[in-house]
Amino acid sequence: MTLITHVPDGGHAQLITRCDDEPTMDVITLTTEEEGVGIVCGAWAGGRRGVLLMQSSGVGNTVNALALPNACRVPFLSIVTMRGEWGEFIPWQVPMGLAAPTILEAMGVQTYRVDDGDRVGSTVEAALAMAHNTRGSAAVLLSQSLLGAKQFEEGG
Amino acid sequence: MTETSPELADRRALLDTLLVDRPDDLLVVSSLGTTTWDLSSLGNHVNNFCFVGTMGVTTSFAFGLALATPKKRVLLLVGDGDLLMGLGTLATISGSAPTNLAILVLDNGVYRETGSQPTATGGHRNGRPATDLAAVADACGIENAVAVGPATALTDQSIDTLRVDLRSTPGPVVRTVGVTAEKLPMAFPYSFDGVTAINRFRSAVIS
Repeated sequence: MTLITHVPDGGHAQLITRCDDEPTMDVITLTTEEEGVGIVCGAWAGGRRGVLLMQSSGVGNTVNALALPNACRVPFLSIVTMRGEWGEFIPWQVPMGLAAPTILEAMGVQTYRVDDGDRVGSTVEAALAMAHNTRGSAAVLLSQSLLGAKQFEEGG
Repeated sequence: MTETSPELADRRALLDTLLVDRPDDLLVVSSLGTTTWDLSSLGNHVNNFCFVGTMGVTTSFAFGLALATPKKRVLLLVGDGDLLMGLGTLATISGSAPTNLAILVLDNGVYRETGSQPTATGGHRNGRPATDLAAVADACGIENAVAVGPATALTDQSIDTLRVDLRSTPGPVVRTVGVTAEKLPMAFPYSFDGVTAINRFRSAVIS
């Protein structure tokens, strides 16, 4: 895995920084999440593995694009940081927080939810293996209870 | 030669001229609709991958392919409607600027497949200026972006230059060319089944 595409989220910030610091990695900042689907699929057609990092709100932006890995059975992996489900402050995050797993599954993406920090690595590994061994689409959902709700304070 | 080539009003003649004697390391990706039918009319080359869906994602696919195949040349043939749906991808591409990626926008100014409604590049009924996709690419930071004008005005010399720019000038290269929206006989890609199509393409690419 040497290609990281992302629309940044606070929950992915450390991973993005670590990938940025790794010279063998290409880190691509997207303008919208659907680009990540296209890039990961195009890279696979050229023999390279990639991943899409996004927040749950970005899942809604990927819907039609997800027809590409589905129709072509391209191995596709996304790691999704969840908002709108645990101690959320911003109400506008709630609709996509609720809908993200359903939308992914409706587009043929197998979802793997993680609530326990010790299980993140093994779950990502398993989802990646599933995607590539079975030529399917998989998403690891990192729950908001695991990541911690983002805190907002006026004047802060 | 400075003779113009009126026969290039036919989009397929233009593509045929640009792809003549195509080298083995040239990978061609086309966007859904007219662009895929036009490319397919020239034969289903094993190094072609023709989209028949997921409008707006074609450009990012070609970008990902270019990132994975630095020793090959990736040529994206994209319609104005498809590129307009994913305009932000030009900004994304600019950020890593793959030298092996060239984009030819076949700009007919309409959504041909759905009844030729005008796109933003085709002008607006109220006279507002049309969108210039080469200028958009340039403003995104893709310095080598040029509107080459209508295909009918291309000279033999300018076609030779365009062929070189698309095939070998260090990228990212963007060229837009005005083409007719004339309906031409339907030509199908190798397969409408995505698995069949991408398996054949990928095997050729990574072999």
